[in-house]
Amino acid sequence: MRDNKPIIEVKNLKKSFKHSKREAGLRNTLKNIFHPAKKTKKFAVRDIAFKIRKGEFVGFLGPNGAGKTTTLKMLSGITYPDSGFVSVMGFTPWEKNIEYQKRFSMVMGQKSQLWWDLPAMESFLLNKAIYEISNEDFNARIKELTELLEAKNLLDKQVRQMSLGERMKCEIIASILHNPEVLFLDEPTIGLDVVAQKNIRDFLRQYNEQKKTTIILTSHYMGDILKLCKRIIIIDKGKIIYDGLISKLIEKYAPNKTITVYLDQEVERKKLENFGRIIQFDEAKVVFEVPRKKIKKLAADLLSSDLPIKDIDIAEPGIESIIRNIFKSGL
Amino acid sequence: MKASAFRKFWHYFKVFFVIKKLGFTGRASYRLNFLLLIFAVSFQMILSVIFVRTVFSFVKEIAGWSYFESLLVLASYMIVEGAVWMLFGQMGAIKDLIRRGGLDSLLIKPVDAQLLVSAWRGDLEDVSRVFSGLAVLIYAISNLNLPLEFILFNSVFYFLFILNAVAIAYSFALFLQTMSFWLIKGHSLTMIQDSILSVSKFPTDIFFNKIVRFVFTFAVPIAFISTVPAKIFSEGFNFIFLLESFAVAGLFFWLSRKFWLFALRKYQSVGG
Amino acid sequence: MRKYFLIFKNAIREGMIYRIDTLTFLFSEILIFFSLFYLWSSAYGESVTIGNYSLKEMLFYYLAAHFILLTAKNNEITWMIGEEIRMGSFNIFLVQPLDYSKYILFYILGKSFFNTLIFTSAFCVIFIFFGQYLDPPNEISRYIYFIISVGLGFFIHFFFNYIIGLSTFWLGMIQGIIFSFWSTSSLLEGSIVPLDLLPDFLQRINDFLPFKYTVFVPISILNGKIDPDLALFLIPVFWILFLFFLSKFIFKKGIKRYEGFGI
Repeated sequence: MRDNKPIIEVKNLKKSFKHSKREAGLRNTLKNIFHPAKKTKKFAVRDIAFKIRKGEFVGFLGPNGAGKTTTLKMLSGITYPDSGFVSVMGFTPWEKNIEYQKRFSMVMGQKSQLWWDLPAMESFLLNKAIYEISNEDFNARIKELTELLEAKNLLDKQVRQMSLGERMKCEIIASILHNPEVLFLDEPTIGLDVVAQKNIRDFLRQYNEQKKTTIILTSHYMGDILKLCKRIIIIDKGKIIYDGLISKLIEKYAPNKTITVYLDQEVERKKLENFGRIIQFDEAKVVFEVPRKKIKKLAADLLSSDLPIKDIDIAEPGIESIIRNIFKSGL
Repeated sequence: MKASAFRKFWHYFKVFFVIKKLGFTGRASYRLNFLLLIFAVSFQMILSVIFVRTVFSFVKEIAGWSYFESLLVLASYMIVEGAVWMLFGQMGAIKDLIRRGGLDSLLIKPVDAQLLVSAWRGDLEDVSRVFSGLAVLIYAISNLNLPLEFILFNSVFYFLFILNAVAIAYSFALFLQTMSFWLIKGHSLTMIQDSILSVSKFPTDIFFNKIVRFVFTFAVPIAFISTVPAKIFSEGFNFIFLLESFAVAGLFFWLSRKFWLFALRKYQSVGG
Repeated sequence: MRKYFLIFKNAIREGMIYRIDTLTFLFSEILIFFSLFYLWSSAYGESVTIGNYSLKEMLFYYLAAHFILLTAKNNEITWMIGEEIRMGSFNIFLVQPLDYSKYILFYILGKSFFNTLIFTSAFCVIFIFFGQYLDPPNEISRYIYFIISVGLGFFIHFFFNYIIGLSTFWLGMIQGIIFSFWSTSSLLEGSIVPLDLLPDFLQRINDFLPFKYTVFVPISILNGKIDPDLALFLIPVFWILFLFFLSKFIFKKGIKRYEGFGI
């Protein structure tokens, strides 16, 4: 089993939707009865390509309507592309190969597959029947997953009585009961509180490390992506504008950090200029900007000097602002 | 090859059964509502009987059918409708799944989506329809003064006719509900379904116009849903009818599946 | 008052967008009438009258009944109210200065307005072509009384449906109640068979109930089997007032429960 061969390969993927515009107003509605509105084409995915290796945990990032969910839908076989090549574990997703369906899974944050009025266990038993999981495997998986997610008490709880976080835990359990090798997560933490988000993230990280399951995650929350993925694919307006390690992204687009020094008394600017590049100078506050590698040295120099330093603050432009800037001004 | 086909069939049967169990348990969990629904459905059945009774309190026969013979038709309608409501929820799950996006979750499962959507909804309270139908059937038969061997012998064939009738009603429901892929709101489809099928409460012989009768026998074959099964007790076993019953059931099942697959393909190439 | 008119207007627009629903409703009713036509024609066979109706009168009865069902039906408000309460979108009515019953009323009037236009036009067409055959009444006054009577019946139905919708506060799922009520009322109002064909004891019980004023009474006034008596218009008014106050009472109780327990 060569680890180099990508488990997911996408080439020249294209998808567009036809959209009919409906205008408001009584008159326009009347018009619509006799002259149905024209359809305009909207390109959701234009020429996307990437390769993912087994065990990778990749994040898809992008604004609403960028094409993340559409791409995942094509990878899971729900949607047919207009053109392009997709291979997951050697299968073409939309050919509905039962073998493929038994080996992958998808969790959609806003859509639930659990039965509302019944205890979660019933929905799990349904998936057991659908995926033909043996009794031993099923019991072992339930034990393992409920422990990892701290969800033992949820098995007999009715889904409609669960909080959003509890529901998402059960949603995930239901989706991976059959031990999929590939997992797609579409906005899994949407609407969850901070604690629930952390629980889900911790679980996903552990799960990926232990089982080497290949995971693609889309999310609005940078926190999800930053904490879980080393590699990130940024999609905007249907095109990939960055595909690579997060660390490299940060290095490339935010190479500098800032140190803010609060002084007890005024110090001559000239004296401070020796330490590093000053981008802001006030009576009692100086802001230095230096490349990341040099930040430690600068901090050490400042602190060991005889400057009347009251407080020191090291900051870096948040990854959020980096990415925001990428979307605003492009690369 | 045979073994794997059997295994697949068994797998599908199990999945269907599990989904039905889920559906029934969920529905019965609202106890008061469930009891009221049973009452409501039973009452609807009683209403139909009242209607037939009232009409026959003034006349002796309608289009050659006596009161008890007409009850045979009504009973067959109740049994078939009850079965399709109970087992398949008249395919009402389709429009809900499309509208709320749940269909996507089903498409990624390693089971034919048609099976899943067929099982997804099941109104348990409609078992009372089946029971009412059986009660009316027994009542009607007992009043027709038929010899016992005749009843027993023909009951077997009656059962076959009913199976075909359920297949036809199922295919009809599937065909109509598949249109939910193109229409925004789905309520109207159920309405059409119900109204067309309710025509089968009466013997198709009431349609003295030949063209209309042909339409309701072969184009929209409601005749095979209730009138033809009933005729086995009112007129006796007819082999041609049995063959036609199988042929029509098979044809409509095939057509409705083709339409469903077509709609599904369209849905998937258009996307969300 | 203006906000209610806006609701009315929006409901009309909604009706136009979901025009397919209207058409299928029309289609269903035409189909049902079609099968009833054949049924009764076959039933009459040799005989001239059933009850005190000739075939023409019977068919006219059902034609009028379907007209009423198409134009004055307001059953959908029970679902609507049930959904709003269960999904919580009802909350907005606790905060906004909007009378809930008026909101529902203007909504259904808007929906019905569009439907009524379509159905009345369709019926006019049917009448012109086939109506002559059924010997429709000549006096315009009967048609006016008919419309007033149907209007009163609309409000009786409205308050019943409204109250049933509100029962969601206590019952959660109300499908059972809805279907039970609709089956019962459709028999007792004369939609299934003309009331004077039913056994006497049933007719006498029914006299104490308001249902016959929605279908049977208007049609009987129209076809001349009953003379337009003042009582026929006053009694429904009393029922409407009674149901109106009852609904207000139930609404208050319901709100208290909703705020106390939530749903």
